[in-house]
Amino acid sequence: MCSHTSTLLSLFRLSQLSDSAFPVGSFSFSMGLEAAATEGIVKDSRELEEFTRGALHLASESDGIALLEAFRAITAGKTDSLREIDQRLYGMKASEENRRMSVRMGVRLAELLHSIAPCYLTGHLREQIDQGAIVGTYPVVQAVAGVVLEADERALFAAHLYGVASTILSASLRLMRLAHFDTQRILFRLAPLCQELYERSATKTTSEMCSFSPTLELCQSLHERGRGRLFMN
Amino acid sequence: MTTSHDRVPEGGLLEMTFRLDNRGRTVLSHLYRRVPIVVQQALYFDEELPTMACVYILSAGGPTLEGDHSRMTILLEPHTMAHISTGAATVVASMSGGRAQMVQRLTLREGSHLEWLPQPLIPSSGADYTTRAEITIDPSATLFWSEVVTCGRLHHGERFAYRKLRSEMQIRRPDGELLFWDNLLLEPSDRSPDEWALMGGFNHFGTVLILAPEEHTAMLAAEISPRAKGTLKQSVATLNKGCGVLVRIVGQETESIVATIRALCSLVRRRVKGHSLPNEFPWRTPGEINQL
Repeated sequence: MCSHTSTLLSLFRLSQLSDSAFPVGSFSFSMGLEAAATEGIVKDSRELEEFTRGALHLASESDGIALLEAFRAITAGKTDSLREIDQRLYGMKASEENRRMSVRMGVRLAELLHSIAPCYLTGHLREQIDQGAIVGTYPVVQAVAGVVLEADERALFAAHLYGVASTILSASLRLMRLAHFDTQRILFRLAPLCQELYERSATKTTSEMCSFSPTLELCQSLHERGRGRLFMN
Repeated sequence: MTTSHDRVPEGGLLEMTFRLDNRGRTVLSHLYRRVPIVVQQALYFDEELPTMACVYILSAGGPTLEGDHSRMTILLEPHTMAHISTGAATVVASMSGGRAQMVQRLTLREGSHLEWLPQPLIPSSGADYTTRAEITIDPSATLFWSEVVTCGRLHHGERFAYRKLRSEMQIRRPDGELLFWDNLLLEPSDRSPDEWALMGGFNHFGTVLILAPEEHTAMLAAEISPRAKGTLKQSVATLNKGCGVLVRIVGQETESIVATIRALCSLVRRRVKGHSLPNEFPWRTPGEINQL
């Protein structure tokens, strides 16, 4: 295990990983917002808030559960379980864009993590990804990061949801007529949802992950086939 | 004291095996059923594919009741073709605290072709219903699998009045490789289905899963477009490794969802078999569902 870190240090480093400047490539994705804005499905800040709220629900019910289960598995020394969690999560992602986003960010985070905080766990993770033993979905790699940074699982869960919301809201500034004040207000208003979503996800296992969100699924499928070029599809 | 919630799980049981006879026709070679499930003999009414077995699954016992745990095991031997539907909508009766479930195991061997188009599911107030489909499919086989789930007995004033609805689907290759799994959970008391990201004000939804040989799936995915406008919305996703396509439809009327699903089935059939799906019999039009 890596060297001991205090709670304060852990929080600082978790913030580093969650920052939009941390180069895992989240800025390249809009999670379907580009198509939603182009097609007039999301037109203003109220609808953007609903879009983001829906994305947070979906993230907590799938990625969030996988994140917590992977984190607990590593903490309990059951790293072999990571493969199953990773495959199950990857198998649940119907959209190509979702699969690509999750793996691209996961593999990038694994590389960065091993570069800035090398230890047995980060090295083992890199090996597993390189050998194709695990795909490297973002939540599974985030769980490894959480253990390495000795983060609390609640803080890790919050960091994950923060990443989802900030990806969408950052994209919205390039796609919609909004000011930074608008997106920051949305982020602030949605923050209390994090606790509720954690309570729901914390007691579930990966066999209970859910993927049903027709409106977001529509936005993602429009984006995969759309002409929008600002964000990856 | 034993309550209805403590009942030992029981319910219908169905086993069907389809096999080719020596004339190249698909026959229902093995059938085992337990009430309330009733299966009519295989019929050959599809003029486009006259060697395909067409089977209707019926329920002799009325709606699905609290405590019912039904199981269906359907096997398609190599190069067989079957079209399976239900005789009427599946109504899940009102429940006071228990639940019911249906487990479906489908196995499609090489070159087989299955069209699964059941009538809609209608969950009544208080219902807690789980369906689970475990599908094993050879890369050379084709499956068109669909379900239509209504918001409830609208004409009894019930809209999302059920307690819990869960629909899980798991698809594997014969060697056990997991291709895709879908898990849908709606608990209206916990989170309103009317939320923007869920049903967004629509009443009913349909799910279509198309698994076909690799040479067909890319074309099928290209031919099916997402729909963002109008009274029916539709998303389209290409599954991992191009093994298939998932289509999700939401709409206000079951008729339009059912019609869309039949059009998709026809599209798949034309691409894979070179034939269209004939028009539905007039007495099986989904308009009847709204009379409930």
